[in-house]
Amino acid sequence: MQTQPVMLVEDNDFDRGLTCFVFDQEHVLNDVVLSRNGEEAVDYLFGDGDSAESGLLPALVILDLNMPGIGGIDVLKRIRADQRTSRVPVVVFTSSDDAGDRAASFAEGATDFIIKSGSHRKFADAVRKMVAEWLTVNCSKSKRGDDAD
Amino acid sequence: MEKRSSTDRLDKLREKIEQLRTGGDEFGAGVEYDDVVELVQELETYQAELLQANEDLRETHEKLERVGRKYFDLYDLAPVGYLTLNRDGLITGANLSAAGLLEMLRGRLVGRLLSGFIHAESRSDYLHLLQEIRSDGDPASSDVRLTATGDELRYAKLNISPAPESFEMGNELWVTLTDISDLKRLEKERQDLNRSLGRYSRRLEASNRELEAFSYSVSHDLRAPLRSVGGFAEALREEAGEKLDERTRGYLDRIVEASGHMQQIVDGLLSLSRLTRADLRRTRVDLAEHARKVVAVLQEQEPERSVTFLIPNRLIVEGDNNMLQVALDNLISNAWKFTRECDVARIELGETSQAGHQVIYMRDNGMGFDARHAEKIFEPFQQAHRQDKGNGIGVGLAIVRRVINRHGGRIWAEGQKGLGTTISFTLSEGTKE
Repeated sequence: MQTQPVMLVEDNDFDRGLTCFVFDQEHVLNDVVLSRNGEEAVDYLFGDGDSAESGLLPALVILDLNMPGIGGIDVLKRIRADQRTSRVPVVVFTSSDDAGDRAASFAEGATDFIIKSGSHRKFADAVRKMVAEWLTVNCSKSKRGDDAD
Repeated sequence: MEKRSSTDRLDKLREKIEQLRTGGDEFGAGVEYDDVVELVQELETYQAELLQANEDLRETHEKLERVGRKYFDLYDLAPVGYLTLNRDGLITGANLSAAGLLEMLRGRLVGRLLSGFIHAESRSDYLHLLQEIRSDGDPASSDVRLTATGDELRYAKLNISPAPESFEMGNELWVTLTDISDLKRLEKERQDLNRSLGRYSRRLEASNRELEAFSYSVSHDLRAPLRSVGGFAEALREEAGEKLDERTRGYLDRIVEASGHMQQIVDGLLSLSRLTRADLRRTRVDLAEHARKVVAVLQEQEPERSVTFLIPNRLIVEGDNNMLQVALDNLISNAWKFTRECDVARIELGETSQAGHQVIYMRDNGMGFDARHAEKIFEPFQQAHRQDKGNGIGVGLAIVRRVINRHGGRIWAEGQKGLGTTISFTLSEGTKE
């Protein structure tokens, strides 16, 4: 049985680098699908590409909000609108502390809304928590044996 | 009557003279001497009376002349222009001041329409006024612009009322014109000044907003690379630290420490910036309740410290709950920090009143500050104790001040080096930032 990956949608090179570093420390880097913007994420999830063929939908999406082109909220809407992905947990991970962004995220079905801390230690802690969350989701799915919706 | 009797008398005298003349011959024979004497006496009396009458007349004439002069002073030289109009608005009379205002010789004014002297921009106002007074007869007034030969703008307050019925010219209209050109000019200058002041303040506001947005986006954009520097420097220290000698490991420590410090600065800048942008919503807030929560967190972080806190059961203020919490966090953390060296640390939150305003204060018996810097300690990144390490970045009191300013309140510090600090603030006086 294949592990369902964690998907990171992040356009900021620094933040993607630091997040991947934490993934690496947690030994899960091999199970990460990286999207450098909204287009790449949509393409992976709904294009004729990887996920459709392999059936490897992410078990958790870590989603940045402010991205050029297709923004985080748009990606979230697409995920929720598609039957295949509508139940995938999506954690919004953003530097925005705007109440409107928070409300919009939950309105579109975000699982959680986490603000990126300025401190690298707190930032890393938040990523570790999300990794733990992903492991929990994967684990419970393996037990139930329904590795793909 | 007087006139009649004096004429009668004159007639009688003439008659007597005639009789005397016709009664005798050319040599006067037949004329009684006594009659002549009597007549002469009568004539002399009459002459004296005439002289007296003449004197009276002269005096009356002088009086009249004085009245005339007074009338001239009062009417013609009045500081207000007086005009009389007939029902059609034609000028029937004017004083000199009116002639001056209308810039025409008085003699030429009569028979002209007053509307001809009123500038096109005010003419309809004037005609409306004229129409109204013809219909309801109530006095009315309006500010009108007058035509002028020169460049300057001339304005007058025009009052119009029907002449009193008792007055001979009962059918006429009385008009007063008061020169308000200077007033109008000053008013316009004031308006211009206000407009340019408004323009400047809008420009200032705009550039403030721009600066604010700039500082926000710069601090915002700095966060990701800064996290990266701190995160990877720390990773390097963890993974390769043992291979490095003490000196090079020290370099790495410095990078980690400096990036952590900078992360705090950037976070402080962002908090300041957020406080400026956030909407302020006033509600009743219990500062005491929140203070107890902050104290609990601090005591949990440093359980070895023994600090006496004096916090009232309730301390109700009107203000924005979120902002006041931020302010209180910073005030208590500051007091906590600066009483670290005290044997018996004491921190007090309380309220008093000053000139009818509620004053909240936070008092500690910590290291205090140099009273000469009482204003400076509220500036961002100005630390009272720069020499002490680990005291944060000096943005705390700047944040507190911004919160107080947003509320339209006032904040001040009292203290002495080594003798503690009292920070006091109000939430409702002064001007908003």
